[in-house]
This record gives sequence, C-alpha cells and structure tokens, in this order.
Amino acid sequence: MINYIIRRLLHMIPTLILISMVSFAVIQAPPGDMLTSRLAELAEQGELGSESAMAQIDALRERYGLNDPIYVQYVRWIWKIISKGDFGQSFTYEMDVMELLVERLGLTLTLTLSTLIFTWIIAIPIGIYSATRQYSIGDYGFTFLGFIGLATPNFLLALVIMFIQVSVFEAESVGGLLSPEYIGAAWSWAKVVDLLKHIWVPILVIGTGSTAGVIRIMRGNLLDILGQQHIQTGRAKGLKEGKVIVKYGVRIAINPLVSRLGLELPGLLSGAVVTGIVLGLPTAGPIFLTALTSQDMYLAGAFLLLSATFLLVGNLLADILLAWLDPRIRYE
Amino acid sequence: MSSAVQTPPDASVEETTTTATYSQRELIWRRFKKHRAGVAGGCVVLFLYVCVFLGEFLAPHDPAHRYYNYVHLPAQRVHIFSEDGIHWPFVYGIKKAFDRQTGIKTYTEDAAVRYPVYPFARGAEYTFYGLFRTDIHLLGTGKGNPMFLLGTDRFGRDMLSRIIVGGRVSLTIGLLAVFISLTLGSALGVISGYYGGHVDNLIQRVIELIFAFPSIPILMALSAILPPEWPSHLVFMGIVTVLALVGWGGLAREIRGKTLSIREADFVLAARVAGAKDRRVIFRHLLPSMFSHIIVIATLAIPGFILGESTLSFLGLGIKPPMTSWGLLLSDAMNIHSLSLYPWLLLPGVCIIIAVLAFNFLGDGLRDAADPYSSR
Amino acid sequence: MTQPLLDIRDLKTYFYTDDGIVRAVDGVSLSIVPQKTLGVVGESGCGKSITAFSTMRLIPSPPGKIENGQILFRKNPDSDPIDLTQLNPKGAQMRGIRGNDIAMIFQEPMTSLSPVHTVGNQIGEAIRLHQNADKTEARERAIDALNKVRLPRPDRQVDAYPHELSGGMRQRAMIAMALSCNPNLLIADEPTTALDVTVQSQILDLMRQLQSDIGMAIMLITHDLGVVASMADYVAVMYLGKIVEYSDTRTIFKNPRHPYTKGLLNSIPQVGHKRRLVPIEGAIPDPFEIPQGCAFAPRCPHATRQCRETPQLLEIESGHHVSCWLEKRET
Repeated sequence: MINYIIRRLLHMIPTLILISMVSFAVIQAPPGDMLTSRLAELAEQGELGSESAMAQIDALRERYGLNDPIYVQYVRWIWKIISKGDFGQSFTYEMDVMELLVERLGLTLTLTLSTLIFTWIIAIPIGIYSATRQYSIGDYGFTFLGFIGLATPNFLLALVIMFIQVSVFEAESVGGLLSPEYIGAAWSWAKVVDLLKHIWVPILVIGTGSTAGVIRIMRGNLLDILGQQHIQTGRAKGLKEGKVIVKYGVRIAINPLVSRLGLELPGLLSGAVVTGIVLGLPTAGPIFLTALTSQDMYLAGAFLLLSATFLLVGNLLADILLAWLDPRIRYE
Repeated sequence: MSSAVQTPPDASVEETTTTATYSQRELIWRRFKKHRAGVAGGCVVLFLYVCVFLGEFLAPHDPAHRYYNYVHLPAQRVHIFSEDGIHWPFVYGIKKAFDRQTGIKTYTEDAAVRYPVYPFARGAEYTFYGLFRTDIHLLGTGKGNPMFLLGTDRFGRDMLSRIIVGGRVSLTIGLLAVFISLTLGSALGVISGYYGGHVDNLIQRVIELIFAFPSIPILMALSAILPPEWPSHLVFMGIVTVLALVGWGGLAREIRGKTLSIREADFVLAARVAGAKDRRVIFRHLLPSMFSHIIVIATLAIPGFILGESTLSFLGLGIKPPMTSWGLLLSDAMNIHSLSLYPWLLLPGVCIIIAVLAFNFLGDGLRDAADPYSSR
Repeated sequence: MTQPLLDIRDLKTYFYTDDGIVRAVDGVSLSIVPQKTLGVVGESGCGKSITAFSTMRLIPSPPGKIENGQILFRKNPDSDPIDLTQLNPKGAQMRGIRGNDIAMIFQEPMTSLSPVHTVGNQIGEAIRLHQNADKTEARERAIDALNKVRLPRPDRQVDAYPHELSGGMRQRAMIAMALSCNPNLLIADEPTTALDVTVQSQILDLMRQLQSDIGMAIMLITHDLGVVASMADYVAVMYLGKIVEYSDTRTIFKNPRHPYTKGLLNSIPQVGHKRRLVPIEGAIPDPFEIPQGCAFAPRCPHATRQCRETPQLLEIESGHHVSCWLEKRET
C-alpha cells in the first residue's frame, strides 16, 4: 500500500510539471506582456511618461525579467512558487496573488467538498430506493428529476433559485454567504446560523447536476449487483432483505462511485466557480473572472495551477480510498 | 421404429424462418422506434433545428431592432375573443404608464387598438442566408406594429426573435464543436487503441492533462485568450475551437475503449491474419463497425458543448454582440433586480433545458438501440 | 416408512412476463427422507432450479409466483410439518429456516460469494445470525467449518477474500457456509458443474462424507447423470416443469420406463460399454409454447394421438412412478 502511494506520488510529478506549463502558457498567451494593460491604464490617467510611473514599470520589468527568453521566465516563475510560494502579483487587486487567493480558494474547496458530501447523502439513498423499487412511480419521478437536473446549467439554476427567493419568499439579501451585517463580524452563533441560511443555495446549485448523475449510476450499479448470485447466497443464509441489500448490494455498488470521484470533482469545482460568480460569493470564482477579463494573467494562471493540483490530490485520495474499499484491486 | 413416429403439428417452424433477415442498421432503427423517449427527443431536436434554420422567417421582428417605446414589455397575449365576440386572432395595442415616484413603468393593454395577427405578414426586411431579400415573416402584425409574444429586453428588442436567432448560434456551436472534437477524438482514439504502446501512452497522457483541469475554468481561460478585437463571427469560430479542444479527450477515451474491444474481435483478427494493411483494417473494418457507437457518443456529447457555450457566453467570455446565443441572452438576467421585475428574461434558459433534454433522450434511445446489452 | 423431511405437493410456480406466462414448475410432487439424497435431473430450463428456489422461497416476485401446492417441511422428525408456501418469504420464520434448517449452495462458486467480504465474515455471519454466537465465537466456528471441508490452513484462509481462492476452494467455502449451522436439508444446485472434473469428484466425496457426519438430507440438482449415480438414493427426472419419472436410483438406471429417461441414459457415454450414443431428437420447446398434453411428445419416438392428453404420474411398481401413456397401454 505504501509503495502504491509512493508510486502514485512519483507519477504525479510529470503531470504537475505539464500542468504548470499549461498554466504558464495561459499566462503568456494574451498579446503583449502583462504590463501592456498597466501601461494603457497609466496612459489613461495621463501619467505615461512621468518619471515615477516609468520607474515603476521598469522595476516591474526587471522583477519579472520580461526581456528574458520564455523558458527562463517559466523556470523563474515556477521556482518562485516552489521555493517561496510566490505566485506573482495581481495588478487589478494590487496584491500578492497568494495572499489574495488563499482564503477564497479555501472557501471554494470547502464549498466543493461540502457539496460532494451533500450529493452523496442525498443521491445514495435515492439510488437505492430507485433500484429496489424499479419502475415504481417514485423511480420514474426521480429519474425524470434527474434528467432535468443534468440538463440545467449551474448558472441557470442559480438564477432560478434567486428568482424564487426574491419573488416567492421576498428575501431581502440574496446571494452571498452572509447577510451584510455579519460580513467582517466576529464569529458567533448567529453568524453560523446566518451562514447556514445562505450556504444551502450554492450547495444546491452546485450539487444538483452531480446528484442526478450519482443517482443514475447508483441505481444502475445496484440493479446489476442485485441480480448477482451472491445476493441469493445472502438471502439463502436467512439474512434480512435490508441487510442483504446494504451489506452485499450497496457496499459493492459504492465502489464505482468512488472510482468516479476523479470525474466528479472537476465538475463540482467548475460548478463552484460559476456559482460563485452568479451568486457573488467570496470564493475564487469572481476574482478568476475579473482576472480573465482584465488580463490579470498571473492571478488566473495561479488559480488554474492550484485547482488542477487540488484535483490531482483529490484523485489520488479517491484511488487510495478505492483500494482500501475493494480488496480485488491490486497495488501494481 | 420410424413408422411409429407421428410428427406432431409444429406451428413454430414458419415463424422462426421470418426473423433474422434484417441488416444491422434496420435492427437498430427498429429498436430505436420502440424507445418512446428517444423518438420524442429526436422529434424535438428536429423541430428545434427546423426552427433555427428558418430563423428570420419565423422571427416576427428584426432581432436587433430596438423598440424604445416598449422596453421591458411583458409577453403579450393573442386574443380571439373580445366584448364584441369572436375575431381573427389579434393582439391589443399597448398603453404605457410611468409612476414618477417609484420610477416603474407599467404597460397595459389598450382595448381600443387591435392588431390582427396574419400569417406571411410583412415586417422587417432580411436576407435569407444571402439568397434573397424579403420582408415576409411567418406571423406578424405589420411592420413596426407591436406583437411581442415573449416580451422584450432592456432595449425593447423582441425576445422571441432573439431566442430564435440565438438558438441558431447555440445549436450550431454544439454541432460544430462535436464535429471537430469527434474527428480529432476518433482519429486519436482509434490510433491509441489500435497501435497501443508509446503512441497510446502519449495520447493518454495528453488526455490526462486536459482532464487535470476543471473544465469550466480552463474553457474560461482559453476563451479569454481570444483577441478582444476579433469580430463576432471570428469569436464564434474561436469558441467552437476552444470547446472542441477541451472536449475531444472524453470522446477519444470512449472510442479507444471500443477500439480495444473490437480489435480482438474475430473479423478484425481475420483481416489482419489475411494480411490487410493497418489502414485498410482501420477504415474498412474498425470504423464501420464502430459507426453506430460513434453516432451515440456524438449525440450524448452535444449537450455538454451546448452547456459549455451557454456558460461561457453567460459569463461574457463567449459569443459577443451583435451575435447572440441563449447563454448571452441570459446574461441580462444576471442582475437580481431585473430578474425579479422581468422574469421572462429567463426564457432562453428554458430553451437550453429543452434542447439538452432532447439530445440526452435521443442519445439514450440511440444507445439502447445500438447496444441493447449495455445499460450504460 | 419414516416421515418425509420435505414433502412437496403439486407445486406450481409461474412467471408472469411481458411476453406471456412461463409455467416453470407445473405440478411437481416429491418428497425427501431424512439423511437421504434425492437427485433432481433434467436439461436446463426444466424447472429443477425453480423447484429448489421455491422451497427456499427465493423466487423473485414479481414476476414469479407460487400459484399452487404445498411445501411441507419438518424441523425435526416429531414436529408437525410447516407449509413453507404459507410463510412470508421475507418474514422472520422463513428467514429462521433459511440457512439454519435448509441451506443452499449454488452452481457458480466464482460469483456466489461476495467479492469484498472475507470468507470468514461470510461464514460467520450465518452462525451469528442463527446460533446467537458473538464475533470471536463465530470466527472460531467459521475456522472449524473450513477445517471440516478440508480447506488447507483454515486459520489463515478465514481472512482471505474469495478472489484469492481457486474455484474448488471457493465451493468448499460455500459448503462450509451452508453446513455451518448443521442444516437438516442441503439444497445443492449444480454444485460441481462449473468445476474441473478432478475437483468435481473431490467435492462430491466431501459432500458424501459430510452427509454421513452431520446426517442431513440433500436435494441434488444436476443435469449430470454420472453425479446422480454416485450420490443419490432417489432420482426425480424432470421435463418442462413436470416430473416424468421418479424412483430409487438403481431402478432408474436398470429399468428406466419413460422415453425421456431412456433418452437421457442413452446420451451419456459409459466406460466399458462400446455403443453408439443416441441423442434425444429436437430441442426443448419455447417456454411460452409448451405443447398440449405430454410435453415430451414432439420429441418422443413413441408418441401417439393419445399423447395430446396429459398423462398422470402413476406408480407402476412399488416406489417407481412414471408419467407416460405407454405404461397405461402395457398394463
């Protein structure tokens, strides 16, 4: 097992290098360098040519070595990240990228993972219900809802829920994770309650699609497994039907769900980005969009690199979990 | 002994001889026809494409024309009855009221004015796919007269016309993106599965790299790279390319899997043993036998592209005006204030859901018909 | 004569499918005496497995349903028989019988054990369920059971997963599981069909040995007459949901009366007898279109007009039952 994990970690290194290259390519892709927009900004303010502005530009050029060949720039960029955790500067926010991202990224990941848990808690029982009562009205109902859930883009669902909140419940503050009076306030019980009042919206928005997917897969898997011989063995032993289904059915039907986590997580993270933008959450989504539209590429590249790294780690954890759950998997 | 044998009447003989004379394609078609959801999905897909193909002819108004007198007008109803009995279908004129204190405009029906709705009515002039100029529309109340069946947007543009024209972009992008990524995906998938070894390894690594990024953020990043000075139609092609570039990996993986399973099938082995060249094996045996699967994979991939485009456009990173698409139309609804006052701005979203559902049902039906033994 | 342990009377189990009704078991009567082995023989699809699953009340419902008949089972020789058809298949009483009084083993040792639970867990589960044993005790007894089926190194194999065992070892583990609660009746559904020939005879030897140790009766379902000859005391031959001949094993082999039984016997090779093998003409008909009257008539070399009516299962000599119009004619 330990060997397996070490081998997997080693396997991750080349992937990480490629990921960082792609992220750097995205940073470099827009025409001109990152100071072009800064220069344009200064020109608008009529400061172009003023001594302090030119000195600032020169300093920045020097700092990032923008006149060096591209691979030198890449190596310098990645080395700063590895050695100092320095992802560069954001121009729109005039802050360290890392400083800007760390809290928002943490919140994004928390949201993603809570949604994952929520998805499973909702979807697995429904999948079991649908499989054990195949072709019942409930089964058809959930299947239909699942189709709708898979067909609705995240941003649209967010809009619909906001619309319902405003027009049906006449809610005053919509979107966000906290009511205005709690933003910046110290953590208290009331603030936690307020957070819970808000956070169900993004979780619902991000989770609906993948809940539908998990229900579908759980239902299919469980139906396959319930037709297998060892289920009859369990029944022939005299076990209760519920125990047979849980121990010999669900327990095995869960494994493919775990192995699918690698596909699930990117979708949830994508959803978290879009939902964050639509609902105006203090997550990484909104600043990622701002970064892209204002060509603040170091910020955008850092987000790509970090989220891909997160997915890679998530994949590894999912594989370890699967190896632990399914004795048939060999660590080779 | 044989004299004692009495052949009992056997009715089943005749029936068994009539089966087993259908070609593969006929069999798939027969199975598909039995799949009610699949057929319904197929019909809806067909209907949507006919609608967006007819485009300007179906649209009652010029989608770009701004009726400044009718900004944010709610949907008008078509009436048949009035106080004085049954009429040819008509819409009422519009009375506008402005509350100076709240600053809210309200529209009411003006019972004094009636505009009959005529088929093949004259309206705004348009060029039908560059072929001919005309001003005939399927339904209308005459040029400049109001008939806003789904309301108007913040510039007083007709929602119905915009949805039809926007649908053309949304649905075409889905098709083009799936075409490109399918070409790329089947080529690389077949090569990967057929040759194996280093080539396979390399291609799988590239796909792994694409999957390493969350899809929406990488789509956003790539479309943000498109030069801002590009005109609308170039951006359109750019978005198609970006979608295909990120989307081919999944298709290639599925096609690789199918190739691997078919590669060892007897008829392929027989062809290889008989000395057929790789190219011949791939083009004469592998691809034809996977054709139905490729169609299924493509159909099921289209919804993803439609959703991807709508998300990008909604976020302002996709299609740019004067073109429009369902996602771009929805970006007007992003403001919670206008959303609550003008809920009809959400209608393009209904179109997205219908289109995606229809493609999913169609794809499921085709898959069950092409491969009745795999439930997923 | 001793009281039968299991007495099936006129059992009818039908399946209601979209394409029609399948009369999988259509009026089967048979009985099993304590500590003896009844072989149930027939081609696949003749309803022998459905008879067994009906006894266990494990017929999936819908589409399956026991339409008629009684399945009388005695927990011990002096007690009144229980009619299993009257029990709720998911109820406590039926579950208390399953695995405890009647155990079952299946054809496919590959798939009949759960792949993600250890062998010991799966054996110990039955012990804990029926014998009120705690975890450690159940484990001890699972090792014990594995020892009885002569699995090598049972104290280590108890923690093995099924995929780590060979087919024969898995079937031994299945037998250990089935016998862990000392049942009165073991239903073995094609227990050796999926195994290599050498492993087959080992498993059969083992079953014979355990039968004399534990003193259980066996209902042995098989299509292999060789297995029947070496194991069974009595034989029931089934064709399309009905019993066509029923007798003690010796009589069946020495003096088969039903044309189908004769056909079966003629189609197996015998060591030391150089003769032509004669297959049975034709194939089993479509289950939805079972012919009227004697179901075997379309394939029977002796069929006559009379065979359009259904023959009764008659006792032509002591303990030898045959369902064929030929018998009527001769007597």
